[in-house]
Amino acid sequence: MEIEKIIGFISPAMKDAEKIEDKDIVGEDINQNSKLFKMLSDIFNRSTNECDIPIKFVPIKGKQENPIRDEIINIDKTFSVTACSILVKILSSLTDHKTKDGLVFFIKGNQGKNSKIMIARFPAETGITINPTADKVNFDVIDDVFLKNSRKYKAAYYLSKEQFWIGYAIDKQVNEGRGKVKEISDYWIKQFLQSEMKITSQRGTAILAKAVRATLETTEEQDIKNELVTLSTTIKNVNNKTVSFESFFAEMNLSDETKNEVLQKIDKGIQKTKFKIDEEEFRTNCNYLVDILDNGAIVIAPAKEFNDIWLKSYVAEDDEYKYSTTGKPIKSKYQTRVVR
Amino acid sequence: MTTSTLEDIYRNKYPYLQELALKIQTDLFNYLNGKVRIDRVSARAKSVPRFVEKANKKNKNGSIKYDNPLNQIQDQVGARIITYYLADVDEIACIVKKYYSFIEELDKRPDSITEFGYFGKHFILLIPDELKPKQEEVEIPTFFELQIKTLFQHAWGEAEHDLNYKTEEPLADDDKRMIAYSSAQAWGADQIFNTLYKKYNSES
Repeated sequence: MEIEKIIGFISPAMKDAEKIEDKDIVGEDINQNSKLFKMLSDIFNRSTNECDIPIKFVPIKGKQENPIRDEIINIDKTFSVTACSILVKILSSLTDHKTKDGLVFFIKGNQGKNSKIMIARFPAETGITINPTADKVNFDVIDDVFLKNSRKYKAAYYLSKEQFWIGYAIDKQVNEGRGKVKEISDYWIKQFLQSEMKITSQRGTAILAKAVRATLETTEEQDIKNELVTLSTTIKNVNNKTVSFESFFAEMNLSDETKNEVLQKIDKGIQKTKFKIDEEEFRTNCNYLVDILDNGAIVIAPAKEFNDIWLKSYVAEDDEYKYSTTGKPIKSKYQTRVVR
Repeated sequence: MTTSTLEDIYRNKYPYLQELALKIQTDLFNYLNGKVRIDRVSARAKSVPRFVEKANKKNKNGSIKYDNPLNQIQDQVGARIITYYLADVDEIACIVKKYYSFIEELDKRPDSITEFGYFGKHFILLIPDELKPKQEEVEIPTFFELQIKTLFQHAWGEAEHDLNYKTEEPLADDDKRMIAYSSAQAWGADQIFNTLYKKYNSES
């Protein structure tokens, strides 16, 4: 990957300011021979692996328009302090004093035949320095240290081949502050980039649920079956959480055996793709749990209540179970066939 | 890039686009089936001559419309969902937006309220990564076009398109009026069936 130019800015937290003037946004070309240029080049080169949240710009009023995308296209055409400062101004207008000032870098380069634009925001943190002398150590607290490994570090890059509609982002706070302080998770992708996940929560969850369903139908391993059955009750704990198909299983404390068997049923190319879990969609796809017994009985109940409705006790002979339930009969019916 | 180079690249890509179209058709059908009334779902790869023709299109000022047609032409794969009633169109659109990311959603209709012509709902959707062919050497487009139409909108659109393609000379004014009149009839038929569907569906 070849880097053409890097421009850096201080992005002040000015959410409460009435107006942001041009003089509030200070930017500078980064010297190609500097250590900083080398560090940012490494970040640019690693971004293909590190920016692991595929996102896309939200069209305004149904048209192929988005103001942030327009600026990215403009930045690609005329990579300059003036062009980049428009986005820094927008970012500053969304940044409050809790989020603090930041350093923002714009990196223009190539990935294969494609033009690539990357934006990275380093948050201001507080750090401690030490000054050891012969007989003692002096400690000092310094503000405005900018760290890449901070949880608040954010980045995104865009490629020309996708007409700059698709982005790849880093946002370690994407699952933080859900509920009352949702702006923490919305700050980078939703508010600043005016984007959303590339794969919709319903599609991602449907793919996952269908793979879980297929695994439950086909696996011979009782442990895997047991783990997958618990999902019908525990899925609510991760509703609206951003996961990848791979990370979902660790999130739910499921074994690697279960993970590997379910992932076999999901396209390899999307297993690392992140999306938001939609509990309702999962239930739509895994609505009823059915146990088919070797004596011809079919035991069925809504998946999330199966264990409340049926008491399943082990009969210590030939791996047999006894199912019992108590309820008032409301209907009996014949069926021509039962899908197994 | 010369027209012949462009044509060669697209011709090489065409079989993969055909394979992709089939996958998109199945994918759409699977998400819609059983949830909403549909007459048919179809998808096709744009033919080589039609692609080349579109790639060479010019703006009114004579400048070229696409400087990178292989990336910019968004209907290299096009899909269509045909349904019975106008009310179904909105329901289908709702489901489509749940399972596909979009960058455009347009209700296509004539500009003036006193004109009749093409009607239909159009989307530009992201091609889901899991449906894309895996050959790295082939550059698969990012988007595909989806049209959702009633049977009457579809019938009118097909006949009008065919007539326009087969007619070398521009249509006479009265012929254009006849086509607009037929669009008005299709529009009226949609209104009647939609009203009756709602009336009897809500009564049952």
